[in-house]
Amino acid sequence: MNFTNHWTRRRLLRSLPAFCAPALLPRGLRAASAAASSAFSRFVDIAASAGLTQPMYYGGVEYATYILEITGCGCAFIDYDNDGWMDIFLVSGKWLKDTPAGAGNRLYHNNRDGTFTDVTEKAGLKDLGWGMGVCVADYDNDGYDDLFVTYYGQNKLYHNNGNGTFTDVTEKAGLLQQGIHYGSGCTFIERNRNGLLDLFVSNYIEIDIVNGPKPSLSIPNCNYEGVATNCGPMGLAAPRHYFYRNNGNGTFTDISKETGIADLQGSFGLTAVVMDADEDGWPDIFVACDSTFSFMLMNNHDGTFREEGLLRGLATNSDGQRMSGMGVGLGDFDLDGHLDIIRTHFYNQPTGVFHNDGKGNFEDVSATSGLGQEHRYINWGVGLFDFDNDGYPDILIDSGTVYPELGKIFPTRFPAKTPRLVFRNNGNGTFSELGDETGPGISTAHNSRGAAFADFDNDGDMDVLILNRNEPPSLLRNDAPKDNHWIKIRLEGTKSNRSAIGARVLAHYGGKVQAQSVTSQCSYISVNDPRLHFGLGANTTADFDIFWPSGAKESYKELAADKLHTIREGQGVVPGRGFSK
Amino acid sequence: MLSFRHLPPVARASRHAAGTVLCLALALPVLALPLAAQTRAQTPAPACHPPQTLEAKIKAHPDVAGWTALGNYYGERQQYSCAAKALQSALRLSPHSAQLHYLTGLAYYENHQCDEAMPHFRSSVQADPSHLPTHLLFATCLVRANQLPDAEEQWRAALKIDPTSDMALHGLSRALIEQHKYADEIEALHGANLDPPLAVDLAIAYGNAGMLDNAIAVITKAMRTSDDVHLSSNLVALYVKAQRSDEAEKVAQKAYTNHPDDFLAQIDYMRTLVLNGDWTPARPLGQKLLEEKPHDFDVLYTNGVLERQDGQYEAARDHLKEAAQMNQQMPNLFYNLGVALARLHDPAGAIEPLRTAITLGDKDPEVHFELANALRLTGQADEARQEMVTYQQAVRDEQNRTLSASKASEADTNLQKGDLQHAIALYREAVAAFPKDTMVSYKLALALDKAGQTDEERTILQQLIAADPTFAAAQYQLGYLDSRSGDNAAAEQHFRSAVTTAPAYVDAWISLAATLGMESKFSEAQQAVAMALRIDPQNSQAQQLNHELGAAAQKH
Repeated sequence: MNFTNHWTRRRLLRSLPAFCAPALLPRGLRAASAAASSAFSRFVDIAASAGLTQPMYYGGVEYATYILEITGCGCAFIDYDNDGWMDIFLVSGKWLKDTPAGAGNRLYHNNRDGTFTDVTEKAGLKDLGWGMGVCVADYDNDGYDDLFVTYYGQNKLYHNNGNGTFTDVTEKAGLLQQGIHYGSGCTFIERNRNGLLDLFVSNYIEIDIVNGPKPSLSIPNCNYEGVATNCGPMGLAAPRHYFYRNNGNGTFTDISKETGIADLQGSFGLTAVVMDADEDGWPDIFVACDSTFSFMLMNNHDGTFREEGLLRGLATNSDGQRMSGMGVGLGDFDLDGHLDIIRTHFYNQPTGVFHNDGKGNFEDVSATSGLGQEHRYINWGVGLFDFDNDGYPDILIDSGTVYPELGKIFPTRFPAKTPRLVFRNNGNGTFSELGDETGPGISTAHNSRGAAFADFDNDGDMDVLILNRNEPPSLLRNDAPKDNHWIKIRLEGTKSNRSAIGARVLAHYGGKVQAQSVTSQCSYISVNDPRLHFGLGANTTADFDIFWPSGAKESYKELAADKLHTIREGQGVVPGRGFSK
Repeated sequence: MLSFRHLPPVARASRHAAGTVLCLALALPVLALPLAAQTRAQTPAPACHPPQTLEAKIKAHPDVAGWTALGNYYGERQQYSCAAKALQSALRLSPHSAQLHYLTGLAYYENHQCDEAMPHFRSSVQADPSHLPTHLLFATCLVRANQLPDAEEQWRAALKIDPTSDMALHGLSRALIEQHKYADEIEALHGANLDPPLAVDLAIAYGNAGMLDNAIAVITKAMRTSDDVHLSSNLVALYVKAQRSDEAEKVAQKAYTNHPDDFLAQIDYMRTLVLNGDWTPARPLGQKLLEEKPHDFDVLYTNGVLERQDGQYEAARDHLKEAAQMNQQMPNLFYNLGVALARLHDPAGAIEPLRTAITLGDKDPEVHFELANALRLTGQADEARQEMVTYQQAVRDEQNRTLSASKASEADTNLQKGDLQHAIALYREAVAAFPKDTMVSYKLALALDKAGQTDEERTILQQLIAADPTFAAAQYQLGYLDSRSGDNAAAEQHFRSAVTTAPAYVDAWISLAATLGMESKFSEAQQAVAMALRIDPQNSQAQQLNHELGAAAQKH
């Protein structure tokens, strides 16, 4: 016997705890970075003063019996009343027993003064189920964005009636499921250029919360670091995923088999993001999957998809190890005009930075990106946005433990609450992690899950909404440096779907080119501002190329900075549909 | 009694020799040096100059006493070849003398000529099996000659003479470990007072017997009274093997704190840091080790792995290449080297080390992933595709195995709670998830047995045995079924298969004995139950059966 054979196995590295506790790597030290030559944004949590005071319940506080209790849920920015101000929708879960009063999803109306009003009941969105993910789009092209919410149980489609209310049209739309599903990710997608948004839904695991395995030291994957914890996801069965065709009359039909989605097996699906990965003009879907192969579903141009995650370098990390894919950031971090992917992971798994060569081939550059050594926390929501408007997209990530039991036992290594992380783009394809100078909104610890990114106060910078387990949400107001310019683009499809979901936009400014895309879901099962935001640095105009889901391409020259421009497909910039600083 | 009065006492000399062996053996989990390698060089033969008086006396009366006195004279002056020559002359006059053979052997032994010594020791123990030092020296020579079964016999003989002999116990322990006789080792050291080397040996035995908790307990207990770095080193290794990496690092860190200049403590700590991805303290420690021992294998290997994970691919490549020249047996070394080369955009260079890793037994799916990529980049599309298929299959197997293990554990819990039907359902799900795990199928068979569903149980057991005739537990259970159905001949066959595969399987020996008894094969039955009692002397079933078989044999 030679014990030494057991050293340094890769599999061990995957499952080992985070040792680099904050004490070992003080945030103050990490703050010293090459990018610190100019001021960066500061983030202040204004949730309380904004009226976002209702705790969002999700699973046990002290311990979790089932993994269902810790996956947490998403949140969305949605301008449900088309007033030009982003409103807020929060998904809620519950507790296994005795769910507190006040639980349930929440819709907050933006009062345009930095505050919000809870309009959940008035809007008809009260629901006490185990919510999880949310995606937004105007699926019936009636001019108002609708909501689709995934649940443990029955997913629901809420139709926006255009008068401030929603109607649960799940059954009428033909979206009732058989049995209990653990819905997680979802995205609307115009897969075949017909102007109609179909619907993809990923499921997380198969779990029985009555007879399923409970925390145990004797059952594999039901313990962590010698402590009995919720089981899974490994050791639990992987479910199938679904695809629904939009029939154009308010109803959907399950075409999972026809599209090839039903054949996808063996992965625990989470966030689903629509993007044209290979720039062939047809939208594809990337699905971050937990502990298993992530999916890259390539559009075959005939209504079907082929899974090419491994082939395209997205299924695993660069070493072929399956990562715990949670959230997805989509954007163009190296300004080469191609959509790259950021994928958040588990303890000891650096956040994945995947560079796109423009043909849909991705290279995992995490190790050299500046994110490779940050693996202390379990990371969830993520945004690749230019927070300081210097022209280079940065990264903001939220984090939170899935083992609340460990917080008391290992308060330093596995704290019950953990901070947010900010990585500033160095302008050379790498990032530097920032520290306390990013403000209390970043350094304050929570147990967070979904994050959504939007300019909620229309002041020309990207703010952040973060959903915290069993706490009120955080609303991080971005106080960006004032010297930089920005520009926003809102797309309205005519031949394409009205929400322009899947549209790819190239912004040209100061010799740079930056790609962005309109998504229906992103971050961690959440929804970002549909108005694409580009920081411009010192530039006062930008040119744009727009690749509509219909296949049409439009170009716009010298659009003025510091304004929102609404562009209608085939009709150009819509007058009177923007705001300026 | 004749002796070399000024030679080191036999016991001390031998203990010293054995002590060297044991000191090295202590590090065996890391070093794995064969005992036979511990041989020493023979001293060149000096000219023999006998004292005149003694020479004259022998010339006048060449008797045993004279030659022996001369041998003693040379021995006192450490002229062992001359002593051996003189004692050989004495032996010619008294060829069956145990003492003369012993002394002659001793002279050769001290002259580092174990090959010449051994025939004399053998003759000595045959003539006088009660002389402890002869057994000890003979065993020591046999160890050096790598004749471990014979050495074991001599150590055991020595222990019969003196059960408290430290040297014999250490020697026996080492011999058993070297022969991989782990059950015997556990039995031999049961209840013994364990010093650090014995504790390590016993831990190795437990570890190899799959009893990691016992192994950890043994070392942990020994560490209460000893701060020996070898103990902590082995405990670290055991914790790693038990996938308790956090505890491994704590032990390694403590040893390093207590012995900051000890290389073993340093390298153990470095290993745990690398293993746990704890790069911040690993980097400076690795650098320190590289400065102090730039060409040490462990230093190069651990640094190479760290650098590979840390994105320092050139340094990783250089260090791992040098390490690979020293040790060609570690698959993980070649895997890391292959990955470093691949990251340096040298896919052609990566292919060979990755293939070597696979040849050496790398079971992780990722090695196929890397190889597939390297093959693809070098234009070997078909092979790349095949490797990717292998990778995907391995990943699927791993996932299904995990699912199966989880279901089976859940089934175990339900079985313990008495929910038999739920347990059976879960075992079925476990088997369906990963049919290759024969132990889960076996558990399903046992659950079905409890539920009285013996037809399906029999089918499963037969399938298991068809796939693996050495599956002792399945053979035993099928024998039990056959026995219950009255087919003693078939039962006997299965029980025999079980004990052949697993000679320490007490229940199988007892069942075989009982079956043989039912077939009136009393003599064989008694032999079988004797085997059971030899393995487990306190087994009440075996004791009772032994009694009954004795009575039955008398009747017949």
